[in-house]
Amino acid sequence: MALVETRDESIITIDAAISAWMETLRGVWAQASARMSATVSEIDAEVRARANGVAALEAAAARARDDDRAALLAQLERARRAYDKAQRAAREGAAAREHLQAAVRRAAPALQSDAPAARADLRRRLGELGSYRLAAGSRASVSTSSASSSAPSGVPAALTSRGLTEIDLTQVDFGDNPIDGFGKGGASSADYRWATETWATVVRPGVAGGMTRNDFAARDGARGAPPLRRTADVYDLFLGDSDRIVVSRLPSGRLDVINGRHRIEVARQLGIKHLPARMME
Amino acid sequence: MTSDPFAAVDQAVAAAAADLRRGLEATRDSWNDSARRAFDVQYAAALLGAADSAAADIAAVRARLSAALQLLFDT
Repeated sequence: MALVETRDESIITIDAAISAWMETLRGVWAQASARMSATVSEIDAEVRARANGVAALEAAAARARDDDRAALLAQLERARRAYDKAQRAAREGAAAREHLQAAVRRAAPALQSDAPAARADLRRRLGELGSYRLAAGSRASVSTSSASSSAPSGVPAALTSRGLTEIDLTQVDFGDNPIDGFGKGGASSADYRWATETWATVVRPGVAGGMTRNDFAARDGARGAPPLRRTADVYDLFLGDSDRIVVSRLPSGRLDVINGRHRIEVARQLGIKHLPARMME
Repeated sequence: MTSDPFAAVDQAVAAAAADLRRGLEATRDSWNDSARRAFDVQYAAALLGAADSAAADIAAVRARLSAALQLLFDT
């Protein structure tokens, strides 16, 4: 299974799992029905063959001389037992076929309505995630275009009170200082992706709604979140004094990155348009 | 005539149920709690139930059919 670190990837993975299950189950039902029909047909053919065998022996025994009849009757007895078993096997086969048909009926709602509804819900969630990012981008565009003095519209007070604004990542330029890989400080590219997505989809909305660092720490504690998967750490990473993204305005008007290139890089990969940053004068 | 004609489908449906469970349960660390609960209640529980039920049904059908064939050829 592919590495899943972000909500987009999670939704896509779940959708793929449901789709694969639907496809497999449809294939299973088709294969099972075909094998059932073939097996029941073969059992029925065996029943007919044994019935014919019994009839032939009965006729032979009726015509046989006395000294041959005893052996024929013994054969007939064995043939009748075999025929009886075949009839019982046919009844079991018919019951198995009914069981299979009932199973197909039971699974129909899941295949025809539950799974499609779940996939529609996942598409909706994916759409909402995209809409959220677009909306966040619009809010942050206001902030960057109105420069720096007053609290810009749409930027949470928790950011402005820390001297942060939300920068437009399309204005950022670190071509003269490119990233030469991830892994420094023990964090992988997947860790950066998780943290940056979690900022955009969990922490920023929470901060905008009034959540504090303690709230995120309590949330992490309740979920048993492991290191590198804690929302309180994401809070520190983007809003804390030591790790915040820092940029400065170049004469060209573009933004030079002093700290935070890795987060900006993965945000771009994820389609996130804005991140909080300290603008150096 | 094979004595176990449902072996392949039994394995396929059981594997599909396990894959679905892994897909639904192991990939939602990035979801918040309310979104996870909502999806569980509305969809995941029903799908996993259906997957497990289908796997159990096929296993039962396999057992019944194997028993029938064993009866047929047990002379």
